Formats: sequence, C-alpha cells, structure tokens
Amino acid sequence: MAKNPKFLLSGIGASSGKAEGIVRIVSNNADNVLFHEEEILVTKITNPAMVSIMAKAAAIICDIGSLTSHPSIVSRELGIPCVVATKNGTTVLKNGMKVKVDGTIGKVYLIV
Amino acid sequence: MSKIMTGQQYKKEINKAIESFCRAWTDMDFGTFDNTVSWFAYDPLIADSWTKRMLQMIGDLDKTRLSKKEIAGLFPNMSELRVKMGFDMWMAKYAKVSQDERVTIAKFYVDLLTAYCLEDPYAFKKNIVHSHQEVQNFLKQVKPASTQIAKKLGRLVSACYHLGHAAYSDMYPSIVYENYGPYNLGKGCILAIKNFDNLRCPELWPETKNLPWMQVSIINVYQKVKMRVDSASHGIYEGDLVKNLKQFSLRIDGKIFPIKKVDKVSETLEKFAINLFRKYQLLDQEKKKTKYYYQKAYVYKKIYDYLGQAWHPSPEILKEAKGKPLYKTAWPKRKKEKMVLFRKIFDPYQGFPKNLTR
Repeated sequence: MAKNPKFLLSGIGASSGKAEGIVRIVSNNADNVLFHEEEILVTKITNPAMVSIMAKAAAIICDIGSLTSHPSIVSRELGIPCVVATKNGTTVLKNGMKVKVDGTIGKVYLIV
Repeated sequence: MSKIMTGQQYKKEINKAIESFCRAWTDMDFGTFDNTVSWFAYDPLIADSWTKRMLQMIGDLDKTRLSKKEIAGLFPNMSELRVKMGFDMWMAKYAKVSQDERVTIAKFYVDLLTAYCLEDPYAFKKNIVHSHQEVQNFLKQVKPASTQIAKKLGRLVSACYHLGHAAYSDMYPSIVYENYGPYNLGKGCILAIKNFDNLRCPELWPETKNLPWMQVSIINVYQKVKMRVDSASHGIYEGDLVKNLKQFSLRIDGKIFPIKKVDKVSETLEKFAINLFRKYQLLDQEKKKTKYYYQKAYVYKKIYDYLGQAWHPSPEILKEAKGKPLYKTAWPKRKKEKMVLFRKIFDPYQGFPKNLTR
C-alpha cells in the first residue's frame, strides 16, 4: 500500500477491504473492451451491461447507491471493495489516476 | 402461528409487515432507478385494473382446495412474495378500491408468509424456510472451499444476479435470485443458500430458450460472516465472503457441477445479461411499460397456470397505462420523513396521503 495517500472523497463503505488501481470511468453504455483487469470501476451507478467489467474490477466507486444497491450486493459477492454514494466520484476522479479504495470506511485516496 | 386470525391479529401482522417494508425501502437510494424502472413510476399507472385483477385472483384461489402454504409455494420464492406484498399494497392505495378491499390484499399475503416461513415472515433480519433436518442434510453435501473457489462462485452469483436483473428488471430480480438464511451452525459459522431459478424465460425473452441452464443452487458455509435478508429481497453480508467461505456445494439443474467448469457458465450468463439489458434499454417508453407489466405478471405465472387462466397482463391493464406519462414524485430526503410517508402509502387502513398526487 502507498505511504502517503491523499484523501479524495468519501461515501458509504458497501463492501469491505482495500484495493489499489487505476481509475476507469465507465458510462451507462459500458464498453467491456476498454476495461482492463484490476482497474477501479468508477460510474454513476452500475447496471447489468457492466457485469463483465465488474468481474474484472479491483474495486467499485459509485456516485449514488446504498448498502442494498446493485453495486453493493455484487461487490460483496465478488469480494472486492466498494464505495457508493460519493456524490461526485465521476467528476473528482479522472481516467488514469492511481487510487486506493477503502471499502471498510468508505474512503478513496489518491496515490501520489 | 394460528391458521385463523382475528381482525385484530391481522391488523397486528399487517403493521409488522409495513414496519419491515418501511425499514427496507428507506434504506434504498431511489435515484438508482432513474435509468431503469421503478415501481413508483410505473405501478400507479395501472392501479385500478391491476388491483381489480389481484382481488379476482384472491377470490379464485379461495375457491380452490389449495392450502395457504401451497399457494405461497406457487410464487418464485419468499423474497419475491414479500416484494409483491409491498408493491400490491402500494398500488392498492392508488386504486379506486375500498379500505376493505385493500385489507383483503394485505391479509392474503400475511396468510401466505406466515404459512410458509418458519421464522421472521416479514424478513426484519432473515429468510428462514428450511427445517433443522434439511439444514443437516445440506451439510452432508458440502466440501472444503478455497479463496479461488469462492472467487469463481462470486462471479457465478454476480452473473446469475445480473441475468435476473436484466430479464425481470431491477424490480423483480428475485424471480431469479433468493438468499436463504442465516442458519446458525455454531462456532461462528452460518449456512447461507443462494438459489437462482427461472434463468430461462422464453415467454418474456425468446432468446433465452436456448440457455443451457434453468437453475443454480449454491450452499455456502461461512465463518466470521454476518448475514441478513430484508423485506425488499436484499441479502446483506458483513465480512469477507471470499476469504471466509469454508465449505460449499454447487448444483446446476439439480446435479453437482464441477467448479473447474463454472467460469464458462458465468461467461455465458453474463453475455445473456448484457444482451437482454441492452435490448430493454433500447425499447421506447410504451414498449418498456408493456415489458415491465409482463415481468410483473410473470411472478404469478404458476398461480394462473393452476387456475387455468392466462398469466400475462390483461388488455385492460395495458390499456390503462397506454399513453400516460410516468409518475414523478419528489421523495423526502430525510429518512424519518420517508418512513412516515411510506407508512401512509402502505397502510391499508389509512386513506391516500394528502401530500401525494394520485
């Protein structure tokens, strides 16, 4: 894990655990080909079109959602961290950023 | 629980159900339905004809020799039954029906849930339908798990869940997905069953006719994992489901399935989920409405099959919705206010809330 991560945003920790990876912002019209293994899926809210992407993701960050929302349920099954209800994750985070996701406390850090 | 309840006992049971619904539904973020569908936008459009149909169905079932437990067994599962109770009570409030008729609908569901569930019928915390002996029999089937196995099973669960969501919408994924448990095994262990039924649904999606599998069942023994199930069909787990899976059993269409071949199943189900979801999203608003009402009606398919009646939505239902704009409601942001409003909508003994539009 990185030594000096910079706090970026917080939300509800929906699936516990920590993961680091490169941010990939995904729109509603998810393109599976563009998403690489172990990237961090960042989206407003997940949907079934993202099922293959979710299976590859190291963690999930969503602008909206709750403990019983779609990304929360699925990330717990996949055993990957998930933070929902960040409000502005898709605008604060940019493609290519390296971040640390703490799904236990619901926080996201930039790895400098 | 007594088979025959007094009016006061029913009222108490209905209040318990409403309390459980209010807790689960206020935990949801309604904004997550914006790009898909929601009962609160679509259901009130058909309130009169749907509620009339439900009352007719309840009357027709009363004339059969089926027990309450047998009728409950005609629903996909108990989570779906609870969801339908909530939706039908919600819809009845929008319909032009009497208080007695609203109460009849609520009593129908109370009877079914109390007849079928062994504990906690309204899922304040759990979803228990298996006896101690059945749980012991499940334990004879399980074998040791590993992190790698847990990850493969996690992907399979995700694939099945997404297929349920895509085929039956975010309102009825439990036509497919059901969590049973937690069954306490002692020593910090629980048994949880994840069942996925109705994977094929050619009546709604002809392309699923050739899907090779209809049913997936996974028995999981977890250590250091807390599980609860709410009345809106959600399974909520605390603890790492991958690291803490100790034993498992996987059956597909009733037969033990080799874990080494499971990725292919997940991959196929994922492809179907993506395809169906994209097709749904491409429908225009009127076709989306029709598809949604077919998905809604599909929950009762086995009941209508038993009654020898058509399961799909009647022309009257589709006509009632045709051309109408979806309902838009500004829901309160604060949880307490939401609870108060939801209670008013669910409660069959109260009139229509003054601050809502019908």
